[in-house]
Order: sequence, then C-alpha cells, then structure tokens
Amino acid sequence: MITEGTSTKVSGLPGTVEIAGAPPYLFEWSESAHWLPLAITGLALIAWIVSLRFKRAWAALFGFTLALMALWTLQSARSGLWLPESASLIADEVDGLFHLVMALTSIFYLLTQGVLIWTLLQPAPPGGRAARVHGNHLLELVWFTVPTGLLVYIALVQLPTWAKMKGQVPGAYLAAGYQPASDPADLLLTVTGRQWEWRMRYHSPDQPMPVNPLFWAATPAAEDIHAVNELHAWQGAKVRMMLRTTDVIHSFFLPQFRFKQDMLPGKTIPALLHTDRSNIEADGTERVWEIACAELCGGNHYRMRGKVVIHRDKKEFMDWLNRQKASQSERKESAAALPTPKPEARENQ
Amino acid sequence: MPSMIRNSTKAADSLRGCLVAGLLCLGCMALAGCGVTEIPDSVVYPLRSNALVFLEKAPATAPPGFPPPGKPEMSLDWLAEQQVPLFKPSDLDAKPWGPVWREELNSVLVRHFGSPGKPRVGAADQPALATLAAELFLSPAELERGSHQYRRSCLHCHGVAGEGAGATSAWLNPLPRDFRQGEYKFISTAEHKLKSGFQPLKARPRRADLLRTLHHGLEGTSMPSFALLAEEDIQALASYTLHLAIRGELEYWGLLYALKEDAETLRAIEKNPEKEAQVRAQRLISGALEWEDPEADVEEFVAREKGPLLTAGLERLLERLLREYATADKNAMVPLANPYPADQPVPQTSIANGLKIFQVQCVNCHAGYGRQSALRFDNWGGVVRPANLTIPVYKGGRRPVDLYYRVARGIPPCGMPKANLQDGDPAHQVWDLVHFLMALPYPESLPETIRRQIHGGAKQ
Repeated sequence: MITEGTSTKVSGLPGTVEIAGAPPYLFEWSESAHWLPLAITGLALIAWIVSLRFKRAWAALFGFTLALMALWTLQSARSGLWLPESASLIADEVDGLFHLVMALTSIFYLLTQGVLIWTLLQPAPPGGRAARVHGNHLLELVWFTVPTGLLVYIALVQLPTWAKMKGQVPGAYLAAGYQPASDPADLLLTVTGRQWEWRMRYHSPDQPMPVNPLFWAATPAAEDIHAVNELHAWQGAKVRMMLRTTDVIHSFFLPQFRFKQDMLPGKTIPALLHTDRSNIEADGTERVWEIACAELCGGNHYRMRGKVVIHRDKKEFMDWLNRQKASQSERKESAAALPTPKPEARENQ
Repeated sequence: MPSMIRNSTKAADSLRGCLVAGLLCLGCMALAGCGVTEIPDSVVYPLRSNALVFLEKAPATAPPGFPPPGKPEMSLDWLAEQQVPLFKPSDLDAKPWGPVWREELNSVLVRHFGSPGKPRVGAADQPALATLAAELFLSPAELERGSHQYRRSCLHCHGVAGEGAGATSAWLNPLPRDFRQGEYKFISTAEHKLKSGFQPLKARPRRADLLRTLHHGLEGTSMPSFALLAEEDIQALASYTLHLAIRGELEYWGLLYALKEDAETLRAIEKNPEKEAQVRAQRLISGALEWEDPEADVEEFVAREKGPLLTAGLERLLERLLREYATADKNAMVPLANPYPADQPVPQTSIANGLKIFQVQCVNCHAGYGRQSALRFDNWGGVVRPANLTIPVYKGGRRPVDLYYRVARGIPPCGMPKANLQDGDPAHQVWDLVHFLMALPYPESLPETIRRQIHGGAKQ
C-alpha cells in the first residue's frame, strides 16, 4: 500500500542521477486497499442496522465509530501510514505542533464522545420525560475560556515555525511586509503552478544573488535555468522559493519537508526550505519524494505531481544543473534524439 | 406493549431506509463504472461530423477577436462570412451516393483502425500495411496501452477520436490540437513538395518531436508535461497519437474528396454525371499515387482493382500516409552550424543583425515585437495570435535549436512562413535572428540602442 522508501534504479555513470521510468508515488492504492475502508464502513453499517433491532442503537453507533477510528488510527501508525520521513530542519517542529494539536483534539474527542455514550446508556428518567436545564455560569465560563486559551496558545506557539517556513524575520510581515531573514539563501528559484504541472525557474549560480527576490521572481533573466515538475537541491541547502501561479489557486505540498503553501493568483509568496537529508542512497538509487498539489485545482488536480531530488552535495546538484543548462542551450539536436529513439522491442512486436 | 410495537415499527422503518440508501450507493458506484478497466467494444470512434476546413490561402481579413470562452466553433462562422468554403459531412446525405460513400469510409476505418478498446493500424490481412505499422511502433499491444493512458491523460481535452473537442476543450485558448488533419506545428522536419497542387504540403513529425512535446509540454498553452509517466506509457501515447492522427487524416481526405468542388473534379463529373462517386474516388486515388510517382497511371490502377473503388483508394492513401510518417526521420531538418562559438557570449553585432532581419521578415505579423500581434486564422479554422516575443515563453521549446526550427521551417499550419533568407550567408542570418529572439525578452542582453528602441529608455 505504501511505497515510500522504495527505490527507482538509477542508470548511467556512477555519481550521476538519472531516474529511469516513473517513480512509484507515496500512496499507491492496491485493489485490496481500495476496498478495505469500504468493507469496514459496510460492516459498521450492517452492525448498526442489526443493532437497531435492540435498544440503545444510537449508543452502539457512536461506540462502533469510536472503536473503528481508534483501530484505524492505530493500524495506520503501525503500518507506516503515519507521517512520512522528515527531510527538513523544521520537520521536527512541525511534527511537534501536529502531535500537540492531535493530543489536544484527541483528549476532547474522547471526553465528549464518552459523555455522549454515557448519556445514551442512561435509563430513561421516571415518566419518560427529559429534564430541561437552563444556564450554568460556571460551566459556560469553562467551555468558553478553556478552548479560547488553547487556541491562543496554539496561535502563539506556531509563530517561530511559521516564520522559518517563510524564511523571514518572525512577525516582520505584520510590520513591514516581506523581509527575507538575514542569513542568505544558497539557492533561489520560482515555482509556478499551473493546471497541471509545476514549472521551476532556477536562479543561475553564476550570477550574484539578487537583493530583492520578489523583484527577481517578476523579471526572468536570460541565464535562468528551467525545469518542469522537478525540484532539485542539495543536502543542507537553504532554498528560497518564490511561489506563483498562472491560473487558479494551487497548494505546493512537500510532505517530507512538512511544507505546504497555497499559491494565489497575482501574488508571489516567498518560502524557505532548509534541507536536512538527501533522498539518494550511497549506491545512487533514489527514494521517491513527491511534490503534490494540496488544493483542488481542476479535473487533473490529482495528477499534479512532481518529484523532489535532494542531492548528496552541492557538486552533485551542480552537475544536474549544468546538464539542465546544457540541454537548454542546445544548438543542434542531441545525439540521443537523432534518429528517432524507438521504444525497446517488446515481446509482442 | 403498544409502545414496544411502535418502537419496533420505527426500527423497521429505519432499517428499510438504510437498506434503500445502501442500495442507492451501490447503484451509483456501478453507474460510475467503479472498477471497470476494460474499454467495452460498444465504444467506437465516431465518424467526423463537424465541418472540414481546407484553406488554400489565408482568408482576406483577420478574425474580429478570439471566440468567447465555451464557443470555439464561432470562428468557423467568421470563416464562412469570408466566403471560405467549409465542407460539412452532413452535405453527403443530399447526394444519392452519399450514404454508401459514408458507409464504405466507415467500414475501411473500422477495419484498419479498430476501436478505442482494440486499436490497430492496418488490417491483419494486409501485410504491407502491417509491416509499415510495425516500423512506426503501431502494434496492437502498444496501441492498447496507449489507448488506456490516453483515456486517463488526454481524452478530456483531445476527445475520443483526437478531434480536440473533449469536455474541457471549449474553455481553452489555444484550443487543444485536432489530430485529424495530420498537421503539426512544433516539429523538426522539412516540408516536401508535391508537383501538382491538390494536396497541401504537409510535413510529418519525427517520433522524437511527439515525444518532446509529451515530455516537456507546450509552455504557454494548456498542454502540460507528462514527463513523470513511465517511459513506456509516453512511448505508447506517442504511438496512439499517431494512430489517431492517421485515422483522422484518412477520414479527412475520404470526406473532403467526396465534397470538394475543384475545377478538375467538376469537369470530370460533368462529362460523366451519373458516375460522380467513381470520379471522386479516382481523384482520391490519384492524390494517393501522386506522392511517390507524379506520373502514376490512375486508369491502370483502377483497371486492376476488382473491389470497391473508394476502399481501394483509401487503402492506397493509408499506405502512402504510413510511408510518409516512416520516412519523417529522413526529412529531418539538420540545422546549419552556428557560426558563433558556443562558449562565448553572443556578439552584439549578431543581435543587431537579427533585429534588421526581424524588421523585414517578421514584423508584419509580430507587430511591436509581438506585443501588438494581429490575430489570424489557422488551418483548423481556429483563431491564433502570433507570439509575443518580448515574453520568454516558448511553446515549441526554449532551446536555440527549437527557435531555429521555428524560424527556418516556419509553422505552416498557422500561416507562419519560414524566414526567407536568400542573399548573404544563410547560417549567419538565421542564427542572428535566433540570437536576437533569444535576447529580445531580456533588456540587459540587448545592445544599448536596441534596448531603448524596444524596452524604452529606462535601464532595468
């Protein structure tokens, strides 16, 4: 069911990374996996219908749901359907925030469901009439202040992580708009989403890093290097990305980097990725890390995918970039394209 | 007790409600075709019903604008207003022999191209066609794989028969390509000429050209890159696209020869009015034979043929089309060597020379360097806009060699002629033009005087 961590065999010279064929994606639903949730839901439905013949049917329904969700969550965590491997410096912080919110919501979910089930299991009061309760100041105060306090706490505790994701001084946006954090980025690129692909434009490392990345993002330069659906960087690089879209709202999602940011028409949204890990093994095989679109953007939204390659060092990245640059500045057809490359002869031909 | 009875009726009601809801859910899933991967045999390629466009020369005036979103067919009305003849397949019904012609055409198409579920090129009992198809990697297995992938990736824009009129197409600009005319914009082969002029000059793409489009997409259009598909799927898609293009083109000629009213056909019909269908079929045969041998004897071919004439002509035409595609590699344009060294910056004189050539050759259509381009009709009857060259977005690719192909061979289906470089040194001229085009969007790459002229006074 989960194919993260599987490798695509790499062909070519040692040290170079050329991926043959399509990488398997993060989630490849097999036929059985496809039917599993349906089967479980169906069983629950049947169980509930049967339970309708008895008293306490609603309590049974909530009880079943609760048990199923717990089972599903535990099973997901056990079988690796939990968070993917982390590859950026902020990943641990983001995971921490996620677990915090998860813990808080789980506590309240169990609490409220428990009370609900308990209530439903109570015998009917004498005479079969429900009591009408009006106002309880203490209770109202508690359910007002506790969630408010928790929300404010969550809002504050995530601020530094958010600023790191954006690569800017914490809180600066409110005061003065976008201000890049003072430590310089190693690599600058624009990522432009469109239906249905990601177009990357890399700032050429031969050129001095622009002072204003927002201005650079709006003015293409002749030296820029272009790529489609491939985000390349190297381990330990600070990558400044300027996110744009040419049509509708997209959301640039890098699961391994715990990074997700909407792209809004008419805006250039800055972001910073501090890579921590390479997805290229010692033998040159590549683990699949994907780019996904996380905002429904049209019919082929589900296919708006790309791949991330974090090279082991800057040299390896520069090799890729230079190859990309060379293929972009071809003055004659490369040998590979002449004559027409034919598919390998297959058995049935 | 009464309350117990009431309760149990309630429970029974809920039970019934749940069962009905469950069955409805299952029914919806079945309707949506959940889990169906086979394409049923009932799915067939529809015979062309929209008007054929055959532009012998560009219409006199430009279209009034782009058709509004959702109404791409409006441009055909504009063409009709300009007295450009449109050939409507429905006109066949008015002719006594029309339905027979249509049926024969359809049976040839079904025999040689199968259906979306079982696509093929060339009926199995015709070894000559099968050999050619195999050479082009159009085996049934390859095409079946391509057909499945086409349904996932291409159908919603390009349509079942490659007519470029899928569900989303009407809202796109530029429109998705209609493959059924056998014309291509971004390819690298030179045109070949026919001696007589009935057939338009068409260049066939190399397989590499199709693969390049599939891999890189067409930037600036709605065609995305499919580079992340498995290489086998991309190859299969290239094969399937060829299958649709060849099927569509055979259908195109089959309908056009039935409807076209050129002087020679009309003369022949006048002499023999009761045999109009045969006369038209013979014209089709002569068109099919002309490519390899302009002096070919149609009479002799007809005399030899025992079966129906149209079928024979279409099969001969199919063989010709396959042969043309198979020889596309031989027609590949080999770019002249760039006279300027690759490892040094392009000299400013080259860019300045390029501007001079641009002002003579290109500026009529790419007015204001493309910023004020006038719209025009393309060979599909659609409306296109000559590119704005001050923006570095290149549909056919951004490599210098891609721009070379665009300049040196033109984009004939949308009326872009090849650069006319007769006097002087062609290699220098064409590369100067390419260098100018490559520098044009970037003010800092242009010589000072040219920058002022194009991008205004302020230095960026």
